[in-house]
Amino acid sequence: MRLRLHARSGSVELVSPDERLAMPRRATLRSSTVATLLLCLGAGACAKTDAEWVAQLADPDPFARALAVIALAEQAPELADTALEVALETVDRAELGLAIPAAIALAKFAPHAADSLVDMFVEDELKTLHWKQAVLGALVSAGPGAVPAILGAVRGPGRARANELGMVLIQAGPRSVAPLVDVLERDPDPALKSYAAWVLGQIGPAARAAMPALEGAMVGAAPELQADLRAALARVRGTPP
Amino acid sequence: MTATRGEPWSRLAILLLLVLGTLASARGLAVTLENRVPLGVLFGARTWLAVLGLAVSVTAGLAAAIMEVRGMRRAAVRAHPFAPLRRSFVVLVGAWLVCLVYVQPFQRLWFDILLGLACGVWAVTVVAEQFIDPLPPRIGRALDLGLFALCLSVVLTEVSLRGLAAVRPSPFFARIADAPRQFLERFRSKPGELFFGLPCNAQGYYDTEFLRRAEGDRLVVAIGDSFNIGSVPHAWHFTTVCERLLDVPVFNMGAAGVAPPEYEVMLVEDALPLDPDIVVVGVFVGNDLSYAVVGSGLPDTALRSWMQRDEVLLFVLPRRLARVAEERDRRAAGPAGVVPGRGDAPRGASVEELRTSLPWLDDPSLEAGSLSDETFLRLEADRALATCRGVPSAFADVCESLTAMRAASGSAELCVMLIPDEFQVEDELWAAVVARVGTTLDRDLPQRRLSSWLAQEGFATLDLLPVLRAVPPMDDGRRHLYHLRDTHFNARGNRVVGEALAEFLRSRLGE
Repeated sequence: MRLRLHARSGSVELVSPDERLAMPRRATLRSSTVATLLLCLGAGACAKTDAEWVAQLADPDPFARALAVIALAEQAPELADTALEVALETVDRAELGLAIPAAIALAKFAPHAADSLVDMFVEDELKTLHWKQAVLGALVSAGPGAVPAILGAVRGPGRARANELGMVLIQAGPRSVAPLVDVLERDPDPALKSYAAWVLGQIGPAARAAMPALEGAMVGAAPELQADLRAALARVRGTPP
Repeated sequence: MTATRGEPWSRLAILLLLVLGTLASARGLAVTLENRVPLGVLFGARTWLAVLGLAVSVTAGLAAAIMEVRGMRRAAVRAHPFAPLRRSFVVLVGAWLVCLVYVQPFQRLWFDILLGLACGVWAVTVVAEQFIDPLPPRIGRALDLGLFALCLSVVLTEVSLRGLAAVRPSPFFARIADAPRQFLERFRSKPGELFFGLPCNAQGYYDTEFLRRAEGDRLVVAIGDSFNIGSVPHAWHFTTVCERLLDVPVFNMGAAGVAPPEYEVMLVEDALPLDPDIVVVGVFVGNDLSYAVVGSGLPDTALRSWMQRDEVLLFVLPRRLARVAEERDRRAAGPAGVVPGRGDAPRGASVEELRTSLPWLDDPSLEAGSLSDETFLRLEADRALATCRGVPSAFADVCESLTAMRAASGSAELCVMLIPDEFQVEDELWAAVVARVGTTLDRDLPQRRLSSWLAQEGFATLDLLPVLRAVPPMDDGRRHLYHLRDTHFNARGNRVVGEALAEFLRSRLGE
């Protein structure tokens, strides 16, 4: 027990050791809590909303646009379609120094915009290597969501770029297997079946689930397709020719 | 007596600066918090360190301002009334130099944060001087005046260099925004990268190594985009053809995908240190008049001209002087006169070997298309729409770049070679383009427009359009001067252009 002197009133009281220990701690806790709260309030009050970031996508300054893309990828990746073009523009603008963060942002957008990304990739063969790498990398990040879009493109206007898109399917690994099996089982186009077999073969033993479909597709297939299916089966079994 | 002279005014000025500095710190804090999501992605937890630093800066600024007001009320006297003002100058110049060295490329956000922190540093020194005096007075005074003099001389040197640049334009004083340089670096070939067996030289250009012009020799440098890289082996390239005909070295500087702002960088950084007699800038009307201007329309132009490293002559000038010295040293160490072997077989394969392995070099009908039919036609139609209808989007920028290049060229003569697009030369392609765009186009408009401006400005110009159109078509009705669905000259086109360029240069070189 100790004596505590109240300077203003001049009174004196007894303070227990426990109470004494608790007093300054309470005061510290209170002030730090207030400071934290104030900082959070300040940060919250200043933070930009999704709508403000979307508006910033049209800013004349490419750096401001790039920041908006990075922010939207973090806090609202579902708004991918509005930000895709600016993200790809940033990937191509080395002078901003934000190409890598923009490519990462693109990967975050990809699950919400796989179709658009595939369309953009197929549409223009004159893009830079960085642009293409960023789109293909984002499609890999998109996971299974991108596989139907890629197969759709390979069926139609993207056939000329099937090899590049195939790399995405290969990197997606086992996640590509089910849609590719679907192609083997249902698609009437032998060229697409051959393509699916090639991708499955490149995936290798991780595509074991596709073996029945590969074997089934042999029945009644043309000799060229049969050769492709056999080569794929060998690779999937782990015994490449 | 001396110490108190000017005291009220210095106090007022310090107070004013403290208020402005506090506002700058507050702005820095606000923009950091506002952008904390992207900054968090870019810098992680360090973003909060910046927030903390800026919060301290605001607090220090307010505290210093309050203390200054109290000092005014008390009529307190400083030993050196202007010392805080000198210190503010030193801190700001220091922040400027830090920005130039470490915080590049310039962006307004980085500037706001750095300025806020710099103001905070100054405010902390103003507060601290009331309580601590870490240095003996003499040393403190010497440091104060010495640093101030140093910073003042740095700023005055830059201002003087800019003044000199305005009065006497020179390649050494050219101030080029960083964006085209970065763009060029990205698209420039890698040294040693092989094209048709020839490794690119040390500067990343499709040519053998460059040497500075020797006294009494002559030298031409050709600058351009992918046309200067081309679709043919080096021995077939138009610069090599021209070189053989003139017996004068024609250095080939090209990078795919670049445009006139990047040509300016190539001129100042790579061509002029070689001391050429003539520089030929190839302007391809297909895309050089309608490129997206990198760095155009950026905000804070005035600020950028001081905060962007490559616009600050203090940084640029030593580098350029070193480059010229380097070229002089290489010249002294290397062979004199025309570089022997230039234009002969590339290192990897002989001309005959190339001719055998690439039969399309002699027979254009054997060429394989580089692009698909659809992409090629779309590209040509887009280019026709961009250049043959109204004023191309970058026309003014091209004129500006060419003017700046001529101003920077010094004693070297700057000539322009206008390269037509394939649709202007091949009638069949033109018909397909017109059918595709479905609107009225003026096929020769870009040449007419640019030639007229170039003539008005007194540029020596080689317009290749009439030269290429004068080539008689082959049996299939096509002139076959461009590689099939590629948009660049083939071997036949390069030969025609090389001959025309040699003819054009012969008179200018006084041969």
